[in-house]
Amino acid sequence: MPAYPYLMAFAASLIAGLDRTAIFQLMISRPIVAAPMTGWLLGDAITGLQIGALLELLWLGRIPVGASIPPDDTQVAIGSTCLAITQYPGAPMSQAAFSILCLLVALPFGTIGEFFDRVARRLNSRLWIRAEHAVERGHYSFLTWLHLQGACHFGLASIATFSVILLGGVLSLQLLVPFLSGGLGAMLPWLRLAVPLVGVSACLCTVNFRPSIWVFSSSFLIVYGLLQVFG
Amino acid sequence: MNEQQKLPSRTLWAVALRSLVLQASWSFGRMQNLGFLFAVLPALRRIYHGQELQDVCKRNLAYFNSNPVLAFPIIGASLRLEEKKSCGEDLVMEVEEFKSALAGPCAAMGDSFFWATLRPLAAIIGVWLAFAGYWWAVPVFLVLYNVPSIVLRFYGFRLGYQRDYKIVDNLQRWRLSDLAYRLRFILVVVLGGFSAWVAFSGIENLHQSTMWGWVTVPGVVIAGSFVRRGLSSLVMLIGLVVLLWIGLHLCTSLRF
Repeated sequence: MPAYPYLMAFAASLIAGLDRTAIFQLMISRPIVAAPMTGWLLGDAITGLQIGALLELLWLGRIPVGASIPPDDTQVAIGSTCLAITQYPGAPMSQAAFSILCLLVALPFGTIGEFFDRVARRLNSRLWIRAEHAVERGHYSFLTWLHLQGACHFGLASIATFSVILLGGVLSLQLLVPFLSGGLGAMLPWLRLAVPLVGVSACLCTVNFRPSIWVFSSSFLIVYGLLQVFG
Repeated sequence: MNEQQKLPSRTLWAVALRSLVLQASWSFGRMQNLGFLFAVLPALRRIYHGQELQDVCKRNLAYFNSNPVLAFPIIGASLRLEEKKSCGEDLVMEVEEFKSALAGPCAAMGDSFFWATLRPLAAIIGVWLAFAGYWWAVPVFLVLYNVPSIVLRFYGFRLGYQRDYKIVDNLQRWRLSDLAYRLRFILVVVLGGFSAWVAFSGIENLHQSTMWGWVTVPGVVIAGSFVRRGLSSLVMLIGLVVLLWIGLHLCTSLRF
């Protein structure tokens, strides 16, 4: 088993994990970016894009406000893309069907990310106490190191989450692939229809916009009507 | 920057760039306090020395939490206030009071605009393009979110430094809450259009009558009501897969 794809996936996990909370927040951590980036590093950007788009929709409405910590969709995106590319068993299972299976397998592990994120934030609580002591002693340069130590905690939490997703995913796939290999191909078109609509319904009810049902329905009816006439 | 600027541009740039990692040491106790001190430290070291520097650093380790984008105007304004204070000017409000008074409203405005509106809107456009098979869905998403976010960060910092207390007027004039409401309307319209496109192309792939697509709206509304009642989209998805699995197996075994 070559180590190179896993090393690249770990690098993607660290970079995207830092962008999630600690550094810049340029949205590299969003599934729609993190998954294709991982796919590109592993030589299959299209698989990453498909996984990223589905996952982005599913957790579109989960937002990190204040002290609330949503499931780690970043590491789920990177983990499921890594699994889909490295663990693909080949025919008769299609790559698209296997990608969706990897996503389904990785999704429950996203909640583990909340635990590691919480641990990182708890560890960071000690940093400002140490910062107060550093200020009292006049060691101002040490403050930079303390602050960057916080980023290290977030980075380690990301890597820990990714490792759990990868290990858990590999083990779950070993169990599920023989069991699901026949039926998943038949389920694929249904899943492609249903999964985005589950994401839309979850997003729609988190949008703070009172007439959302009416606006959504009107927009749907117009576009669907046009597609029926001209599509 | 302007005639009254005391801090050299290099220091201001250092503070602005350091503010990009405001959340690196985010903690449950005092949230972004160490990040705030880390950001303003190069400026504080120019303004204050000795015991004064120690005191002001301790003050800046007090609780601080705001939206990472709208924290920039607060950081800029508090720097100007520290400068004024060091020159012996009487301040209408202490720097700490100003920071804590502005942090909450900026967090509410910023979270509502950036997290709850702009990001989902940029994402749904990116997702639609990705589903249609365009690889440039990713750069489109990044540009749609990052251009307003980065511009507002640096412009806000500059404006905060120039206008100190008066940055509140600018923040009001930006009307981010009103803009967020209008963008949410666009978001819901795009969600409706996207659902119609997914339903139409999905039903065509299944070789079924496109008339079935009309049940999508009630389906989405019913699923949404389950989510509102606390059902997570993950549980809903797993339930859906199990139901599909059973349904397809029943169809196969009954040769339906």
